[in-house]
Amino acid sequence: MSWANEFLTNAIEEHCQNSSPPDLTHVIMQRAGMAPEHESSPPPCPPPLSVCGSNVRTRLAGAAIVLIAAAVVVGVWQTSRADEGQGPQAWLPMQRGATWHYQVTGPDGEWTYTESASGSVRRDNREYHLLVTHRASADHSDSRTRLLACDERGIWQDQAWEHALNGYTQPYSCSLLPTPVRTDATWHWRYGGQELDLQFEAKVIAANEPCTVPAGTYRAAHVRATTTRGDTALVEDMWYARGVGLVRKTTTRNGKPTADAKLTRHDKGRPRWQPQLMLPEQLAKSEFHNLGMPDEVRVVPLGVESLHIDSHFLRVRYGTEWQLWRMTRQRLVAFDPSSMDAWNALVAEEKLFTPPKDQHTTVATHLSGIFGRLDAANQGQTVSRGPALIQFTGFDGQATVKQDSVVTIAGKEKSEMITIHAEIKHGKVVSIGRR
Amino acid sequence: MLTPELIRRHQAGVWRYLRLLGCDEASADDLTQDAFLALLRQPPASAEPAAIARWLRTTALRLFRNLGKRTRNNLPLDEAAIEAAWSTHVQSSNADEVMDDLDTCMQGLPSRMQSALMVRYGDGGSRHAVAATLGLQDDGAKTLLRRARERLSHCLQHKRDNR
Repeated sequence: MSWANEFLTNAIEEHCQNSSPPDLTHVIMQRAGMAPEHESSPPPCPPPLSVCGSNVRTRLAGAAIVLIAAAVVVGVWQTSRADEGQGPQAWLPMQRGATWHYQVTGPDGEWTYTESASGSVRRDNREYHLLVTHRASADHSDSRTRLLACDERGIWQDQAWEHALNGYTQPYSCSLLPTPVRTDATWHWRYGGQELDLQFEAKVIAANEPCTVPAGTYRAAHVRATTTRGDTALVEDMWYARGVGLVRKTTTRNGKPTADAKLTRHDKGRPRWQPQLMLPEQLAKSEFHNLGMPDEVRVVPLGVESLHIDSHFLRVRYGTEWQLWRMTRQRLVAFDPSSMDAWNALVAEEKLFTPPKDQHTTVATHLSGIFGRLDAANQGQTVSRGPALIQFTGFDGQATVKQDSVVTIAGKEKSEMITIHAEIKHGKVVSIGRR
Repeated sequence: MLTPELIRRHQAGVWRYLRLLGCDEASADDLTQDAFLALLRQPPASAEPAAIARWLRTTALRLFRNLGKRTRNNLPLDEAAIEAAWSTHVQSSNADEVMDDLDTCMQGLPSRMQSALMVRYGDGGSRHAVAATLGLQDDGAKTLLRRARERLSHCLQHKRDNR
């Protein structure tokens, strides 16, 4: 075996894993103690206007024109700096696997949380990314999923999907940072939940403000959002840096700081896999035709009654049978949602976060909005957020339940038809009765 | 000597070099950083880009050697042999051309060969996993993988010769 063969093998592996060299410039400069500010250098000044003739007045006039032109360029550069070069998508670059790590300090102590871009869905012809927020402290961990897009509108949160994912009852969508970013731009958004209905007034305080956090020093767009809830005045300040995303967020209640989250690390993630998927042999045996589906799948089996693509899962219905496939890199693999091994493999591959103890619940929560239904964990427990489909071990009946409900399910246990009643409170099955 | 421009110019090449030696991604990230920090401490005599690239590869190899990890096929980390293979088969300073050629060559393979390579190298599957996925016997999977590699090797050679 030679180094030529070694190089070939490792190159094939790199290609198949779709890995690519990251940009380590800032990290290296930071470690060298030479970290520059993050904004790119200003564009070079235009070449001076040619000055004709030797007439002093003409030359002075020409010089004045040059100075004015330079001032105009600089002025334009400063106000449009937020949008130069990278485009509006740069305000929150959500490549698959991108992760942001935050350290939070507040009166209640310190904790950390991470946000990870775990996949994307298409909705209304736009690409939304699933952003999973996972918080872990010594005695507590939880997570929630948001659906965010960053496109020509700026950063946009689709709360209708968040409603499905996390069980909120008042779905509103909102802009978190409209582009082009302009100082003093104002807008509002509404945030709804089961017990909340908040109207936020938002404003760009500064389009290009220095912001220093453990991850580095950035030039960021500073957004302030204010709302009131009863006697409580809530103010949130957020700093977004191009090429990174949210680098800092502070919260105050009635003027008192309650939380200060600072970015400690940002992993950019990897570019999306190639859209051309290679279908496994089983699907490949069917004839295919193009249904004009999104890029993730080019062709679907003929005679399929329905096909549904959610993020990186493909549901194919053959007659009355549903079959689930999971897209992994450039392949489809069969996925059994009742298998903990399948869930574990998904979590490991997606590198969503450090799995908490009840990782099935957390991952299931993350994906329940994608499926529209969910096969619950074993031992008769529902997931911690609804709506969800519960299914008890050894019992083939199913029902869609909410976090607090009483449900009657008829079905078979082994070969016997029985009916069970289940009371669900706060997402947990608290009692089960059988008939 | 260490500037953002210099880093941007050479970092992909160092990273790819480490990856082609068999370094995992995380270690390649770390060792790439360490190689540039070494450049800061002990810059090479020449500031020519080719000299800096060679210096960085030498440093990266030393750092990789210090990791104590074995290469895929347990090849000795002989710098002369590695550099000769790099010069012959990679040629460009950052291996981008090779990866682009590889991408083209991969797309030219029959789908079964692509699938086999994906299972073997993308998912880290065994030869048996390749066989199971494609409905082959283990020997059939072995042959398919060997032929796929041969076709890729010939394709890459053809592209190098025509460059």
